[in-house]
Amino acid sequence: MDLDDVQIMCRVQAGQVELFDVLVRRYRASLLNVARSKLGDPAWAEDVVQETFMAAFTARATYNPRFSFSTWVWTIMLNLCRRQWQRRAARPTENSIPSGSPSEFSEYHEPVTGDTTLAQILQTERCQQVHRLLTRIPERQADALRLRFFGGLQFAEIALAMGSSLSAAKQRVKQGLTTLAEQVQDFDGELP
Amino acid sequence: MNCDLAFELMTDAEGCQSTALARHFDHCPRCRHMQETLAPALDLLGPNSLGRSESDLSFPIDEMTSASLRSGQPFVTIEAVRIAQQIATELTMQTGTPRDRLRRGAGKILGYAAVFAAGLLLATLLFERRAPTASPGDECQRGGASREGWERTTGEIRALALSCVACHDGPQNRVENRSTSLEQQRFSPWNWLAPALADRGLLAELNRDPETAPVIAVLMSVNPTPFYKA
Repeated sequence: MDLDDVQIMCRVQAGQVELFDVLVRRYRASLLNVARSKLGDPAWAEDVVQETFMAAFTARATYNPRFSFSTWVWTIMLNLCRRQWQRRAARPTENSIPSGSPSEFSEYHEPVTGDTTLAQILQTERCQQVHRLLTRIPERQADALRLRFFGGLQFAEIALAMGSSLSAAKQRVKQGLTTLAEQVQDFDGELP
Repeated sequence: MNCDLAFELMTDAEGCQSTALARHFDHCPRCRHMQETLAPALDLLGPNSLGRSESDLSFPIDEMTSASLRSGQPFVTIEAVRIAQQIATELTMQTGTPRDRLRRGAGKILGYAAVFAAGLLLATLLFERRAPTASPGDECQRGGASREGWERTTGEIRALALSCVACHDGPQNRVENRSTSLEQQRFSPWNWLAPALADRGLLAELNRDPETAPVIAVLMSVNPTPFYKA
Protein backbone atom coordinates (compact mmCIF):
# COMPACT_ATOMS: atom_id res chain seq x y z
CA MET A 1 0.00 0.00 0.00
CA ASP A 2 1.53 3.29 -1.10
CA LEU A 3 0.62 6.01 1.38
CA ASP A 4 1.11 9.67 0.68
CA ASP A 5 2.90 11.99 3.09
CA VAL A 6 -0.25 13.26 4.76
CA GLN A 7 -1.59 9.76 5.39
CA ILE A 8 1.74 8.67 6.82
CA MET A 9 1.98 11.68 9.13
CA CYS A 10 -1.58 11.16 10.35
CA ARG A 11 -0.74 7.56 11.19
CA VAL A 12 2.51 8.59 12.86
CA GLN A 13 0.55 11.07 14.95
CA ALA A 14 -1.86 8.27 15.83
CA GLY A 15 0.97 6.11 17.12
CA GLN A 16 2.37 4.20 14.13
CA VAL A 17 5.71 5.88 14.59
CA GLU A 18 7.62 3.28 12.57
CA LEU A 19 6.01 4.68 9.42
CA PHE A 20 8.12 7.79 9.82
CA ASP A 21 10.99 5.81 8.30
CA VAL A 22 9.11 5.85 5.00
CA LEU A 23 9.23 9.63 4.99
CA VAL A 24 12.89 9.60 5.91
CA ARG A 25 13.68 7.33 2.98
CA ARG A 26 11.53 9.44 0.71
CA TYR A 27 13.22 12.78 1.42
CA ARG A 28 16.62 12.01 2.83
CA ALA A 29 18.60 11.91 -0.40
CA SER A 30 17.38 15.23 -1.76
CA LEU A 31 17.71 16.92 1.64
CA LEU A 32 21.22 15.63 1.91
CA ASN A 33 22.09 16.91 -1.56
CA VAL A 34 21.06 20.44 -0.61
CA ALA A 35 22.63 20.29 2.84
CA ARG A 36 25.93 19.12 1.40
CA SER A 37 25.86 21.90 -1.12
CA LYS A 38 25.00 24.49 1.49
CA LEU A 39 27.36 23.35 4.24
CA GLY A 40 30.12 21.94 2.09
CA ASP A 41 30.82 19.13 4.53
CA PRO A 42 29.21 15.70 4.12
CA ALA A 43 29.41 14.83 7.82
CA TRP A 44 27.78 18.08 8.92
CA ALA A 45 25.21 17.73 6.21
CA GLU A 46 24.30 14.31 7.55
CA ASP A 47 24.04 15.72 11.06
CA VAL A 48 21.75 18.50 9.91
CA VAL A 49 19.52 16.19 7.89
CA GLN A 50 19.31 13.75 10.76
CA GLU A 51 18.43 16.53 13.18
CA THR A 52 15.82 17.79 10.71
CA PHE A 53 14.03 14.45 10.73
CA MET A 54 14.37 14.05 14.48
CA ALA A 55 12.98 17.54 15.06
CA ALA A 56 10.06 16.85 12.75
CA PHE A 57 9.43 13.55 14.50
CA THR A 58 9.60 15.08 17.98
CA ALA A 59 7.32 17.93 16.92
CA ARG A 60 4.97 15.61 15.00
CA ALA A 61 2.02 16.71 17.12
CA THR A 62 2.26 20.18 15.58
CA TYR A 63 2.05 18.88 12.01
CA ASN A 64 -1.14 19.90 10.29
CA PRO A 65 -2.40 18.04 7.19
CA ARG A 66 -3.19 21.43 5.67
CA PHE A 67 0.46 21.96 4.79
CA SER A 68 2.79 19.65 2.98
CA PHE A 69 5.23 17.53 4.94
CA SER A 70 7.78 18.24 2.22
CA THR A 71 7.56 21.99 2.78
CA TRP A 72 7.89 21.47 6.51
CA VAL A 73 11.09 19.41 6.41
CA TRP A 74 12.68 21.59 3.75
CA THR A 75 12.06 24.70 5.82
CA ILE A 76 13.36 23.03 8.98
CA MET A 77 16.48 21.90 7.13
CA LEU A 78 17.21 25.36 5.72
CA ASN A 79 16.85 26.88 9.17
CA LEU A 80 19.11 24.29 10.76
CA CYS A 81 21.73 24.87 8.05
CA ARG A 82 21.61 28.56 8.83
CA ARG A 83 22.03 27.80 12.53
CA GLN A 84 24.97 25.53 11.69
CA TRP A 85 26.66 28.38 9.82
CA GLN A 86 26.14 30.70 12.76
CA ARG A 87 27.72 28.16 15.10
CA ARG A 88 30.69 27.86 12.82
CA ALA A 89 31.06 31.60 12.68
CA ALA A 90 31.04 31.70 16.48
CA ARG A 91 33.64 28.91 16.69
CA PRO A 92 36.05 29.51 13.82
CA THR A 93 38.72 27.24 15.25
CA GLU A 94 36.68 24.14 14.49
CA ASN A 95 37.67 22.35 11.37
CA SER A 96 35.06 23.56 8.97
CA ILE A 97 34.50 24.28 5.40
CA PRO A 98 33.94 27.80 5.16
CA SER A 99 32.99 30.46 3.19
CA GLY A 100 34.66 30.65 0.16
CA SER A 101 38.29 30.66 -0.57
CA PRO A 102 39.58 27.97 -2.92
CA SER A 103 42.22 26.84 -0.47
CA GLU A 104 39.65 26.30 2.22
CA PHE A 105 37.45 24.45 -0.19
CA SER A 106 40.27 22.13 -1.00
CA GLU A 107 39.43 20.55 2.36
CA TYR A 108 36.18 19.34 0.93
CA HIS A 109 36.33 15.73 -0.16
CA GLU A 110 33.61 13.70 -1.71
CA PRO A 111 33.51 10.24 -0.26
CA VAL A 112 35.30 8.09 -2.76
CA THR A 113 34.65 4.42 -3.24
CA GLY A 114 37.23 1.74 -3.81
CA ASP A 115 37.55 2.14 -7.56
CA THR A 116 39.02 5.61 -7.59
CA THR A 117 39.48 6.70 -11.15
CA LEU A 118 40.55 9.82 -12.90
CA ALA A 119 36.92 10.51 -13.78
CA GLN A 120 35.97 10.44 -10.14
CA ILE A 121 38.75 12.79 -9.21
CA LEU A 122 37.66 15.21 -11.88
CA GLN A 123 34.10 14.90 -10.72
CA THR A 124 35.14 15.71 -7.17
CA GLU A 125 36.96 18.78 -8.37
CA ARG A 126 33.90 19.82 -10.30
CA CYS A 127 31.78 19.49 -7.15
CA GLN A 128 34.21 21.70 -5.29
CA GLN A 129 33.93 24.33 -8.02
CA VAL A 130 30.12 24.21 -7.93
CA HIS A 131 30.07 24.67 -4.18
CA ARG A 132 32.62 27.46 -4.37
CA LEU A 133 30.68 29.34 -7.03
CA LEU A 134 27.43 28.99 -5.13
CA THR A 135 28.97 30.55 -2.06
CA ARG A 136 29.81 33.62 -4.12
CA ILE A 137 26.27 34.54 -5.07
CA PRO A 138 23.67 35.97 -2.68
CA GLU A 139 22.54 33.36 -0.18
CA ARG A 140 18.87 33.50 -1.12
CA GLN A 141 19.62 33.01 -4.78
CA ALA A 142 22.02 30.18 -3.98
CA ASP A 143 19.45 28.51 -1.73
CA ALA A 144 16.79 28.80 -4.42
CA LEU A 145 19.17 27.19 -6.92
CA ARG A 146 20.05 24.39 -4.49
CA LEU A 147 16.39 23.66 -3.78
CA ARG A 148 15.55 23.66 -7.48
CA PHE A 149 18.51 21.72 -8.87
CA PHE A 150 19.73 19.59 -5.96
CA GLY A 151 16.44 19.17 -4.11
CA GLY A 152 14.24 18.92 -7.19
CA LEU A 153 11.57 21.17 -5.68
CA GLN A 154 8.87 22.85 -7.72
CA PHE A 155 8.83 26.65 -7.67
CA ALA A 156 5.76 26.68 -5.44
CA GLU A 157 7.55 24.44 -2.93
CA ILE A 158 10.62 26.66 -3.04
CA ALA A 159 8.42 29.66 -2.33
CA LEU A 160 6.87 27.99 0.71
CA ALA A 161 10.17 26.67 2.02
CA MET A 162 11.82 30.08 1.70
CA GLY A 163 8.80 32.05 2.85
CA SER A 164 8.54 34.03 -0.37
CA SER A 165 6.00 34.53 -3.13
CA LEU A 166 5.98 32.28 -6.16
CA SER A 167 7.22 35.04 -8.43
CA ALA A 168 10.01 35.89 -5.97
CA ALA A 169 11.11 32.25 -5.94
CA LYS A 170 11.27 32.20 -9.76
CA GLN A 171 13.09 35.50 -9.78
CA ARG A 172 15.67 34.23 -7.30
CA VAL A 173 16.33 31.18 -9.46
CA LYS A 174 16.59 33.31 -12.59
CA GLN A 175 18.88 35.89 -11.01
CA GLY A 176 20.97 33.17 -9.40
CA LEU A 177 21.42 31.42 -12.73
CA THR A 178 22.36 34.68 -14.43
CA THR A 179 24.98 35.52 -11.79
CA LEU A 180 26.28 31.97 -11.80
CA ALA A 181 26.56 31.94 -15.60
CA GLU A 182 28.65 35.10 -15.47
CA GLN A 183 30.91 33.57 -12.83
CA VAL A 184 31.29 30.37 -14.82
CA GLN A 185 32.43 32.36 -17.81
CA ASP A 186 34.91 34.20 -15.62
CA PHE A 187 36.23 30.86 -14.37
CA ASP A 188 36.18 29.32 -17.82
CA GLY A 189 39.03 26.91 -18.18
CA GLU A 190 39.27 26.17 -14.50
CA LEU A 191 36.28 23.87 -14.47
CA PRO A 192 37.20 20.31 -15.30
CA MET B 1 3.48 26.76 -23.92
CA ASN B 2 4.08 30.16 -22.42
CA CYS B 3 7.45 31.61 -21.42
CA ASP B 4 6.78 30.96 -17.72
CA LEU B 5 6.38 27.24 -18.28
CA ALA B 6 9.37 27.27 -20.62
CA PHE B 7 11.53 28.62 -17.79
CA GLU B 8 10.28 25.88 -15.48
CA LEU B 9 11.19 23.22 -18.03
CA MET B 10 14.52 24.89 -18.69
CA THR B 11 15.44 24.45 -15.01
CA ASP B 12 14.11 20.91 -14.74
CA ALA B 13 16.43 17.93 -15.22
CA GLU B 14 14.00 16.09 -17.49
CA GLY B 15 12.00 19.01 -18.81
CA CYS B 16 15.02 20.65 -20.38
CA GLN B 17 15.21 17.76 -22.86
CA SER B 18 11.56 17.96 -23.89
CA THR B 19 10.53 18.49 -27.51
CA ALA B 20 7.85 20.94 -26.37
CA LEU B 21 10.56 23.21 -24.99
CA ALA B 22 12.57 22.89 -28.20
CA ARG B 23 9.48 23.88 -30.19
CA HIS B 24 8.98 26.87 -27.91
CA PHE B 25 12.55 27.98 -28.52
CA ASP B 26 11.89 27.81 -32.29
CA HIS B 27 9.35 30.60 -32.16
CA CYS B 28 10.39 32.52 -29.01
CA PRO B 29 13.67 34.37 -29.49
CA ARG B 30 13.45 35.79 -25.94
CA CYS B 31 13.45 32.38 -24.27
CA ARG B 32 16.03 31.07 -26.72
CA HIS B 33 18.32 33.94 -25.81
CA MET B 34 17.74 33.34 -22.12
CA GLN B 35 18.57 29.67 -22.50
CA GLU B 36 21.81 30.57 -24.28
CA THR B 37 22.71 33.09 -21.57
CA LEU B 38 22.00 30.69 -18.71
CA ALA B 39 23.49 27.62 -20.40
CA PRO B 40 26.82 27.72 -18.50
CA ALA B 41 25.00 27.77 -15.15
CA LEU B 42 22.43 25.18 -16.24
CA ASP B 43 25.19 22.83 -17.36
CA LEU B 44 27.03 23.37 -14.10
CA LEU B 45 23.98 22.55 -11.97
CA GLY B 46 22.96 19.61 -14.09
CA PRO B 47 22.46 16.06 -12.82
CA ASN B 48 26.18 15.36 -12.51
CA SER B 49 27.01 18.39 -10.44
CA LEU B 50 26.76 16.53 -7.14
CA GLY B 51 29.10 13.78 -8.11
CA ARG B 52 26.83 10.92 -7.21
CA SER B 53 23.32 9.89 -7.88
CA GLU B 54 20.49 9.86 -5.38
CA SER B 55 20.54 6.10 -5.30
CA ASP B 56 24.08 6.25 -3.96
CA LEU B 57 22.81 8.33 -1.06
CA SER B 58 20.04 6.03 0.02
CA PHE B 59 21.94 3.97 2.50
CA PRO B 60 20.20 2.41 5.49
CA ILE B 61 18.46 4.73 7.90
CA ASP B 62 20.34 3.50 10.93
CA GLU B 63 23.53 4.80 9.38
CA MET B 64 22.21 8.30 9.34
CA THR B 65 22.82 8.76 13.02
CA SER B 66 26.40 7.66 12.77
CA ALA B 67 27.86 11.14 12.48
CA SER B 68 26.15 12.29 15.63
CA LEU B 69 27.00 9.13 17.49
CA ARG B 70 30.63 9.61 16.61
CA SER B 71 30.59 13.21 17.71
CA GLY B 72 28.73 12.36 20.92
CA GLN B 73 26.12 15.06 20.28
CA PRO B 74 22.45 14.47 21.02
CA PHE B 75 20.30 13.45 18.06
CA VAL B 76 18.10 16.48 18.32
CA THR B 77 18.33 19.73 20.22
CA ILE B 78 15.50 21.54 21.91
CA GLU B 79 16.19 24.48 19.63
CA ALA B 80 15.68 22.31 16.56
CA VAL B 81 12.36 21.06 17.90
CA ARG B 82 11.27 24.62 18.60
CA ILE B 83 12.19 25.58 15.05
CA ALA B 84 10.07 22.70 13.75
CA GLN B 85 7.13 23.71 15.93
CA GLN B 86 7.38 27.35 14.93
CA ILE B 87 7.52 26.50 11.22
CA ALA B 88 4.50 24.22 11.62
CA THR B 89 2.57 27.08 13.20
CA GLU B 90 3.54 29.51 10.44
CA LEU B 91 2.69 27.03 7.69
CA THR B 92 -0.68 26.33 9.27
CA MET B 93 -1.46 30.03 9.18
CA GLN B 94 -0.25 30.39 5.58
CA THR B 95 -2.07 27.39 4.18
CA GLY B 96 -5.49 27.45 5.76
CA THR B 97 -8.59 26.03 4.10
CA PRO B 98 -10.43 28.28 1.62
CA ARG B 99 -12.99 28.93 4.34
CA ASP B 100 -10.29 30.00 6.77
CA ARG B 101 -8.70 32.25 4.17
CA LEU B 102 -12.15 33.66 3.38
CA ARG B 103 -12.75 34.24 7.08
CA ARG B 104 -9.40 35.96 7.45
CA GLY B 105 -10.13 38.03 4.34
CA ALA B 106 -13.57 38.98 5.64
CA GLY B 107 -12.04 39.90 8.96
CA LYS B 108 -9.57 42.17 7.23
CA ILE B 109 -12.32 43.81 5.17
CA LEU B 110 -14.41 44.34 8.31
CA GLY B 111 -11.42 45.91 9.98
CA TYR B 112 -10.88 48.27 7.06
CA ALA B 113 -14.61 49.08 7.04
CA ALA B 114 -14.55 49.86 10.76
CA VAL B 115 -11.61 52.21 10.29
CA PHE B 116 -13.34 53.87 7.34
CA ALA B 117 -16.58 54.29 9.32
CA ALA B 118 -14.70 55.76 12.26
CA GLY B 119 -12.96 58.21 9.92
CA LEU B 120 -16.26 59.14 8.30
CA LEU B 121 -17.88 59.71 11.69
CA LEU B 122 -15.00 61.87 12.82
CA ALA B 123 -15.12 63.89 9.62
CA THR B 124 -18.89 64.37 10.02
CA LEU B 125 -18.50 65.54 13.60
CA LEU B 126 -15.76 67.96 12.63
CA PHE B 127 -17.83 69.24 9.71
CA GLU B 128 -20.87 69.78 11.89
CA ARG B 129 -18.79 71.61 14.46
CA ARG B 130 -17.44 73.93 11.79
CA ALA B 131 -20.76 74.43 9.97
CA PRO B 132 -22.04 78.03 9.97
CA THR B 133 -24.67 78.87 12.55
CA ALA B 134 -28.17 79.49 11.37
CA SER B 135 -28.97 83.01 10.24
CA PRO B 136 -31.38 85.06 12.34
CA GLY B 137 -34.06 84.46 9.71
CA ASP B 138 -33.75 80.72 10.23
CA GLU B 139 -34.38 80.88 13.97
CA CYS B 140 -37.96 80.68 15.06
CA GLN B 141 -39.01 84.02 16.52
CA ARG B 142 -42.38 82.84 17.70
CA GLY B 143 -41.40 82.48 21.34
CA GLY B 144 -40.06 86.01 21.51
CA ALA B 145 -43.11 87.43 19.70
CA SER B 146 -45.41 85.85 22.27
CA ARG B 147 -43.82 87.75 25.11
CA GLU B 148 -45.64 90.80 26.33
CA GLY B 149 -42.58 92.98 26.02
CA TRP B 150 -42.38 92.42 22.31
CA GLU B 151 -42.50 95.87 20.76
CA ARG B 152 -43.65 94.78 17.30
CA THR B 153 -41.30 97.05 15.51
CA THR B 154 -40.90 96.68 11.75
CA GLY B 155 -37.56 94.99 12.23
CA GLU B 156 -38.90 92.48 14.74
CA ILE B 157 -41.93 91.70 12.61
CA ARG B 158 -39.68 91.28 9.58
CA ALA B 159 -37.44 88.88 11.52
CA LEU B 160 -40.54 86.98 12.65
CA ALA B 161 -41.81 86.71 9.08
CA LEU B 162 -38.40 85.59 7.83
CA SER B 163 -38.33 82.84 10.45
CA CYS B 164 -41.75 81.74 9.24
CA VAL B 165 -40.47 81.68 5.64
CA ALA B 166 -37.50 79.55 6.72
CA CYS B 167 -39.85 76.94 8.15
CA HIS B 168 -42.75 77.00 5.73
CA ASP B 169 -41.56 78.29 2.34
CA GLY B 170 -41.90 75.18 0.22
CA PRO B 171 -40.83 71.62 0.88
CA GLN B 172 -37.16 72.20 0.03
CA ASN B 173 -36.73 74.65 2.89
CA ARG B 174 -38.84 72.97 5.47
CA VAL B 175 -37.41 72.55 8.93
CA GLU B 176 -38.28 69.19 10.35
CA ASN B 177 -38.80 70.29 13.91
CA ARG B 178 -40.72 73.49 13.18
CA SER B 179 -42.80 74.75 16.07
CA THR B 180 -45.87 75.83 14.08
CA SER B 181 -48.19 74.44 11.41
CA LEU B 182 -50.17 76.13 8.66
CA GLU B 183 -52.73 73.38 8.44
CA GLN B 184 -56.30 74.59 8.87
CA GLN B 185 -57.15 72.49 11.91
CA ARG B 186 -54.04 73.64 13.70
CA PHE B 187 -54.36 77.25 12.66
CA SER B 188 -55.14 78.61 16.14
CA PRO B 189 -51.46 78.81 17.18
CA TRP B 190 -51.07 81.38 14.42
CA ASN B 191 -53.45 83.76 16.07
CA TRP B 192 -50.58 85.34 17.93
CA LEU B 193 -49.35 86.61 14.55
CA ALA B 194 -52.66 88.25 13.67
CA PRO B 195 -52.13 91.42 15.75
CA ALA B 196 -48.72 91.89 14.20
CA LEU B 197 -50.18 91.70 10.70
CA ALA B 198 -53.31 93.72 11.46
CA ASP B 199 -51.67 96.85 10.20
CA ARG B 200 -52.41 97.16 6.48
CA GLY B 201 -49.36 99.32 5.93
CA LEU B 202 -47.08 96.81 7.53
CA LEU B 203 -48.73 93.97 5.64
CA ALA B 204 -48.22 95.80 2.38
CA GLU B 205 -44.57 96.36 3.25
CA LEU B 206 -44.10 92.64 4.05
CA ASN B 207 -45.82 91.74 0.79
CA ARG B 208 -43.37 93.90 -1.14
CA ASP B 209 -40.37 92.35 0.50
CA PRO B 210 -39.40 89.32 -1.67
CA GLU B 211 -38.25 87.41 1.40
CA THR B 212 -41.42 87.83 3.46
CA ALA B 213 -43.97 87.95 0.63
CA PRO B 214 -44.16 84.11 0.27
CA VAL B 215 -45.14 83.52 3.90
CA ILE B 216 -47.76 86.24 3.75
CA ALA B 217 -49.17 84.57 0.64
CA VAL B 218 -49.23 81.24 2.43
CA LEU B 219 -50.94 82.74 5.46
CA MET B 220 -53.52 84.51 3.32
CA SER B 221 -54.29 81.34 1.40
CA VAL B 222 -54.98 79.47 4.65
CA ASN B 223 -57.11 82.10 6.29
CA PRO B 224 -57.25 85.52 4.73
CA THR B 225 -59.51 87.19 7.25
CA PRO B 226 -58.04 87.24 10.71
CA PHE B 227 -54.84 88.99 9.94
CA TYR B 228 -56.01 92.49 9.39
CA LYS B 229 -58.82 94.61 10.41
CA ALA B 230 -61.46 95.12 7.82
